Amino acid sequence: MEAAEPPMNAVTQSIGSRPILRIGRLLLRVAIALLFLFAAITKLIDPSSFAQQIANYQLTPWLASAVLSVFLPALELCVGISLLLGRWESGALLWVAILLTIFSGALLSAIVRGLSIDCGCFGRSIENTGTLWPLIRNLVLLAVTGFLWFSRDKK
Amino acid sequence: MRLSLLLSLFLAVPAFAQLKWDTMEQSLKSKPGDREVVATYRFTNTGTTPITIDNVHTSCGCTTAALTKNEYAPGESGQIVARMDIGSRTGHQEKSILVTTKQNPKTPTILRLIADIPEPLVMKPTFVMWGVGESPKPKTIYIKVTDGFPIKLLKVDSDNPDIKVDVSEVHPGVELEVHVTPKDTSRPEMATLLIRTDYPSDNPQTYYAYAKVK
Amino acid sequence: MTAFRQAGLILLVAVGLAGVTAAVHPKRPPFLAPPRDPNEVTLAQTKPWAGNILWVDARSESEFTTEHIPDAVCLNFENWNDQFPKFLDRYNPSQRVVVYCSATSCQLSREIAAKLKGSGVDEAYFLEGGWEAWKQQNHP
Repeated sequence: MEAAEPPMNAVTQSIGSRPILRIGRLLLRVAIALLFLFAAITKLIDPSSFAQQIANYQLTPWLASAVLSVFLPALELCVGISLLLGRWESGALLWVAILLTIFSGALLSAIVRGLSIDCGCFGRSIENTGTLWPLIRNLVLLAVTGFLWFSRDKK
Repeated sequence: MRLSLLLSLFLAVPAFAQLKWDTMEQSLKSKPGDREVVATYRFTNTGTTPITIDNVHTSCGCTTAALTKNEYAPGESGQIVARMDIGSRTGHQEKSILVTTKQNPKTPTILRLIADIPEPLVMKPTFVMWGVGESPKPKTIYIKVTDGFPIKLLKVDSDNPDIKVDVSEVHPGVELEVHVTPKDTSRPEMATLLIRTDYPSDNPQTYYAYAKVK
Repeated sequence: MTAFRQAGLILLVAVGLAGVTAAVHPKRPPFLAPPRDPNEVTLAQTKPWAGNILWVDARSESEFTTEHIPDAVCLNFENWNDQFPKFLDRYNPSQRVVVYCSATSCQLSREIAAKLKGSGVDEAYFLEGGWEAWKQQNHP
């Protein structure tokens, strides 16, 4: 083995040599893929109301909300399929990371701004996300994404 | 569908929230005559450092959220008591309470209060009007008792003898028509119509309709 | 292929898919303008009604007392039974009633307008932008 070997290769190699880890990795990848596909399909059923939900955050002009209401689920679908099939996995994982950042910023911004308008109007625009369960879920997602990224086959 | 599902999936949380909540969403049903809906949200500081709750903000002026103190030591429990003023609200109501801590200002907790405020009877319209000089023909207010409400007695009175009410039961105890007739419309008049019910038995409710000549 | 290249390809496919969805999906959103509630009116739409309009303030009494649209009547869920008769004193069926509350994100005006409609006020609308919009136009 060469002296200065990149850590990623070491992870990839150690996984390659142990079938159990390969299977585990596959399952995690498929799990995230299914999560994305589920999210995408449920939104693609009714883009019009999804557009309204985006608009309720008041972060985007209407046209942007409408465009996002078809584009975001389409992107999620592509990412999900990509992860499911194991093709263009690196690119898909990159999108996961990008989306993660954008959405958390949007959510926090909406939470903070939405409630500073004091007039009884939270309505259904922002549903409860709580902190504990999504926190665990997100940390797991982050960890899984990181694991998948660093253990990917550099094809 | 669920923007929140996606958003919550992608919420990158940099720090651990230390407050563990018994429940973050409560659904309550009120009874006719109730003035407010109260929900208590209990929490515990499951971390190893003290937590300071520095802001509790409600989404509506009608909802207050009270905290007895702000500092919670590790292991200590507390509660937020939320009260939503019902007023004349009916049906499905959802109010939110945002809780922020000094230690984790970027990860607030959203508590939800979901209330179902029943409408035992529905009146349409709730007022009838005549212009001065208009022909004093009777006008009708339709009253319908909502399914599931055992209202047995409905009595309608006018507080002004110059504006009379006459009740016909389309469907006894369930559907009524209140015919309102002014004696004459030569000058402005006003009457409050009291619709008295026997429900609920411990606090029978009275509903109001109005008649006006103007 | 680098990760960026792959991400770019995914983006292209997604854009294509989005385009198809936007073109043929039966429940696609209206792209040019948001769907409007027929009971919502803009300040501009209320201009021709001047002289025959009854403004209803759905905010709290304290906000109303501080400042309100001239000749507005206060009507909210908290004091409906006390305030509704006063509303009736002012109201006549030839008028158009326009309810407002703080700002665009506020739902109170919509709810109060709906309650008025249910009570028998046929021409009950709510103001887009609320008090904020009115203030901008009238006290810049």
